[in-house]
Amino acid sequence: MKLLRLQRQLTWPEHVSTIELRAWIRSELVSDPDGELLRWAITGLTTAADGARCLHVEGVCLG
Amino acid sequence: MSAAPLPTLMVVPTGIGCEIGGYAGDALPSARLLAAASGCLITHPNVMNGAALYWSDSRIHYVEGYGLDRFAAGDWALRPVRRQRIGLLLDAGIEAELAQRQIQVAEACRATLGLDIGPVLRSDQPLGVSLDRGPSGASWGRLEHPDALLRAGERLRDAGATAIAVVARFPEDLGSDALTSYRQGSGVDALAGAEAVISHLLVRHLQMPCAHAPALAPLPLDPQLDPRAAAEELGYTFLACVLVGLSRAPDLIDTTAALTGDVQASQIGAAVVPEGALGGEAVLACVERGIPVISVANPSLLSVTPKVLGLSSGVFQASSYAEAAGLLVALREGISPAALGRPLPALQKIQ
Repeated sequence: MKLLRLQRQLTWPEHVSTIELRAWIRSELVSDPDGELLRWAITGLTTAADGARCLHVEGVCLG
Repeated sequence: MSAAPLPTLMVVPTGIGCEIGGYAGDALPSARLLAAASGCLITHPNVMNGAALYWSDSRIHYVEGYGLDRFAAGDWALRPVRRQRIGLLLDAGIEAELAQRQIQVAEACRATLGLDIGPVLRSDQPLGVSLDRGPSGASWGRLEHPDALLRAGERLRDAGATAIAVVARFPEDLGSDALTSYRQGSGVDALAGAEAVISHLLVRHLQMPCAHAPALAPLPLDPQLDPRAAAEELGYTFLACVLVGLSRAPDLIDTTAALTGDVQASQIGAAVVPEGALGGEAVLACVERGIPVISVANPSLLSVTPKVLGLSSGVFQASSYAEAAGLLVALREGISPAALGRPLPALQKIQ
């Protein structure tokens, strides 16, 4: 087993509400081939000029 | 207070430099207040651990962060217990004298506090902890040999431990700017992220209460020491608080096996969280369930605020933990928090 640092920037789709956000982020991260999630959090959010919202996620997964 | 307890989740994320709770158990006074206000507080070791200092309160459930996330998500329930038998897992990388200091703390907690501790086991190889920072500045760390940690945890469980206190040798950071800033009250706890990784791994693997204390050599006297970091300079180890916290930590039960009397996510009445730290899994799980979130002014490295997340309803802003306690009392007593301010919000009308 290896511990891998997770850093992702995810574009937050407009159709995903805040209530659905946890499940959506998990689904995005678990589809990552790196492995199983151990710990994660949104550590920032930026908005592009075109209004697209980008979530900064940091965490640790098991590989 | 006549109203029934309002199970409340209190989260102060580890390793992000919160003004309150980013040091050595310095959110403990706030936790005690919230426990009194709610009658039932579920919180994690980062809030409760003050190295040689601790506070035991039957209204507070001590739940490690991975367990807290699973609880908030509705996967696990909490089963209160009278006591846990705490196995002590020592990293093989700890020098003999420092290891003996840890064992003496365990002996003291048996003799002086009456805790049920044992057996003690050293990992079959050094865990190899290293420290790092993420892009946000939050601390994290890695283990060279995570499997050694899990093997040792399994052996302690098989030998009768119902909870595990793990002590890992952490790298000395003496003289670094980060350590100096932390001790003087302006930095991030560089150890906290790695500590969370260790305890998360064990709890995920064993589904039993676990918590971590680092093993470090004593630091030289710092006359500028910040009071919030002072608890870590009182002794040779950080273990006493972990043993006390685990001694009555609830069992972690699959929700499908929950019984009457277990605490479940469906019972959570509120979550209290620093206003810039709403992006953690437990808090988002509360948002998902429509649980009121009390967002407390408690600056940190992060700015994931209710506004940034587009949360408007179901969030109450509090300028301090004292105000958060007032809001909890209101929720517990069935008083609308909106009725406590002026002007009153306009009555909503539906066409």
